[in-house]
Amino acid sequence: MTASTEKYKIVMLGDFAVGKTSMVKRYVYDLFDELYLTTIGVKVSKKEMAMEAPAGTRNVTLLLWDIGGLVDVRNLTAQYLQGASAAVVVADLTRLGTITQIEAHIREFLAVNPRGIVTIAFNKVDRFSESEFPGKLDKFMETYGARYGAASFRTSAKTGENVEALFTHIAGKLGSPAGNAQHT
Amino acid sequence: MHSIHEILSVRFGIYYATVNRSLELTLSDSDLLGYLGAARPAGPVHILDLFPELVGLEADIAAVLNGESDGFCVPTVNRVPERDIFFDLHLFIYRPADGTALLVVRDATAEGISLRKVQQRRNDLLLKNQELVQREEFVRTLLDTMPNPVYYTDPDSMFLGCNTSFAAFLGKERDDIIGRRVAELLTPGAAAAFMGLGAESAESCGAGQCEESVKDGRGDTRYVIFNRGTLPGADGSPAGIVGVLSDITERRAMENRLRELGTAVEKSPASIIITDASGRMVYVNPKFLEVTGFSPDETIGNNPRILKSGSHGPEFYRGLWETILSGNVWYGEIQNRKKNGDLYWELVSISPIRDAGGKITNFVAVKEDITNLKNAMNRIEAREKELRIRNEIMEQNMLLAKKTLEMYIDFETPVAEGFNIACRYKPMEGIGGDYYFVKRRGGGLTVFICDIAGHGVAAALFLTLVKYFSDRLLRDHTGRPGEFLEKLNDSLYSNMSFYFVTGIYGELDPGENAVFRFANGGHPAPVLMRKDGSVEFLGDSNTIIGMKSGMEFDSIEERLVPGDRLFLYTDGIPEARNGESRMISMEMNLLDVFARSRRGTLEETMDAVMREIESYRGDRPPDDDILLLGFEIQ
Repeated sequence: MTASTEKYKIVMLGDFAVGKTSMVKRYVYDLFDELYLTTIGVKVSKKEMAMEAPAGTRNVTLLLWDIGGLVDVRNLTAQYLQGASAAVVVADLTRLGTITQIEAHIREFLAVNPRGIVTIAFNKVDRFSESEFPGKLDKFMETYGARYGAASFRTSAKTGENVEALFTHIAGKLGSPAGNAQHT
Repeated sequence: MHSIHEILSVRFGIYYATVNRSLELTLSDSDLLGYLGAARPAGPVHILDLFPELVGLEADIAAVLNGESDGFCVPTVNRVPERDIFFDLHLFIYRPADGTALLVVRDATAEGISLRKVQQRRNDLLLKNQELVQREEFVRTLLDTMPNPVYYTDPDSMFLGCNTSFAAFLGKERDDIIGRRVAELLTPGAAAAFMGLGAESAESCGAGQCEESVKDGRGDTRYVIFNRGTLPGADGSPAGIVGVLSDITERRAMENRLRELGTAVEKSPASIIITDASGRMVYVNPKFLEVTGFSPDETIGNNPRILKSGSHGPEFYRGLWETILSGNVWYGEIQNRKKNGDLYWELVSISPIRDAGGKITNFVAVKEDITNLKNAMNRIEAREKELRIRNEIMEQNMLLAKKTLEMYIDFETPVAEGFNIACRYKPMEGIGGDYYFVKRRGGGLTVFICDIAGHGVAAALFLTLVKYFSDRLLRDHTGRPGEFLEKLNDSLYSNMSFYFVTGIYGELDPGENAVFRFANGGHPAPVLMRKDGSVEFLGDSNTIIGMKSGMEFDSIEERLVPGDRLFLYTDGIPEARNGESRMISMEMNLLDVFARSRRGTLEETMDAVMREIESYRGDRPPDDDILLLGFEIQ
């Protein structure tokens, strides 16, 4: 018997140039480009995956909505967020301002999808000197994780660190009864 | 011929399809799939498969199909079939009765690419701006965390900025400094130092270094090093200066103190060595070189063991190192060896020096040459030992002399009819200098009492001489009492002219017509206590016996009656001293002492006199022998 395919809409949120497109590119195509190219509008990428679960193998399709990063997140149209099961809020560890915007992105997303799952990616960890700011990253992760029950990952689209783990985590969460899934 | 659809799609970039209730597309426009880069499927095409961008909008789609909504649009969808394309995705109400909607894709690639260019430029600028802001914040934080005051000005000496240390240095708020000219805030002299005026060329914009004294915000004079660098403008030309102040007031004060200390160390009369933690000498002062004879080259870098004399064992040095390595100061005397081989003694103190972390980094030894002192002490010790031996010999001699004297001299008083005679004698420790005899002479008595000057063996020997001469003179004496003392004087002077004696020689007749005839040779006058209780001294003391030859001594005669009491005594009584070294005869009349002491019997009276003396003396030990002779006429 062929298992049904679970399809989920996941939106990538975060300020411009934090690495949303790079993370999708790394996850879907295993590619990375140093050149920064602004994303305009919405770009949907598909990732199909098979996950082992207690009840058997799950076929999961993640539709990754890469939305152009705008300076003011309130400009995002609710239409883009509508029907999303999860959001990956991406922040750039080298730009403090993008971290302080995490909360605004999460609120925006939850306003449209109150049961949505939120995961935070503290990206560009390859350019972040932990020794230079001891304990700072842990503090960020602890703060936002505790406030929204969001899992936090130190990621690097450049090296691939934790990128797959992040999306696998989301897929795992979406398979749970509380997950906001669409089955086809 | 092109269809209307082809014309629309080519001219306006518009592609369309219809959607039924099963969300299947009716592709009337064959170019839609080509535009999207999708292959024509074998079966029906599901709208969400071809347009995943509509996932999540299923309710909106249904509303359009049911005629409940006129339609909606998903703008600026980006796809990359071969190259970037952008399109707006519209769903319009079409035939609600059939449950059909019209899906229109409008190509917006040109707009999207233009928008991306604009957005890209905007984002690049924002990123650059953010980077600049971050860099400025970093620089500001860096400047504000610097302890050194920092300022920067334009070429016209106007402050463009400064850090908090600089504001604190001037005692002003940063906002009160920025925008003001240097001359407005500082005195002309200080302003010149801030801007480097007169010191450098105009092209350098005041760059350079100088050391100046300036007044700070509190008006205190501070010594400051100005390090001024050129602040480059956009075209690379000097646009002002940036200055960094190093306040060296404390350092200068410390340098002065160190200079004074250094001078003190250099001029010190004590040898001073400073070693590193391993004991290698890193500094020696001139006195050290003078004392040891070594040159600086022979000492610096070497261990002080070059001075080792071999006089002290390993245990000595182990104790020294244990003390100083435990952080304590070692004091002691060390015998060292000079370069020329001479031994010398030093009084040494060695102290550890610790760094800020408490680690011992150096030792400083201050050494005083005590060779002369040590030699003097050795001589004193030798002399003391010699004196101790001599003293022991003297004590033995004294003991021998005392024994001899005790055997030789008889202090007993005779029992004679017509007289009551009593004696009280309290000699000092050792050998006394008092002597007397009372002998029968016909029906009366012959009395002699004397006191030898000094104590000890010589006095004892002199006393035996006095006894010898007085015994011999007494055998042949028939003349007046003064004659006895005159002969005794000549005998003693001719034999021991450097010694002398005081004494009274007397003859006492008994009975109703009792008489006391006597001569006094410098001795305390006899005390006569009359029967009626009155008390008086008899005669004068006259001259001391043995001082010179040919001395004459007067003879005195005093008539007595039964009941009268006569007292002879040595100077231990009138010269008895109390705890404050005051003599009894200076404090009170000796006659009063005797009068107060008068009791029923002679013995009781004499005991009372002795108690008075002892009471006056208190705890003070006797300074002299005490001899009291008493006679009562019966």
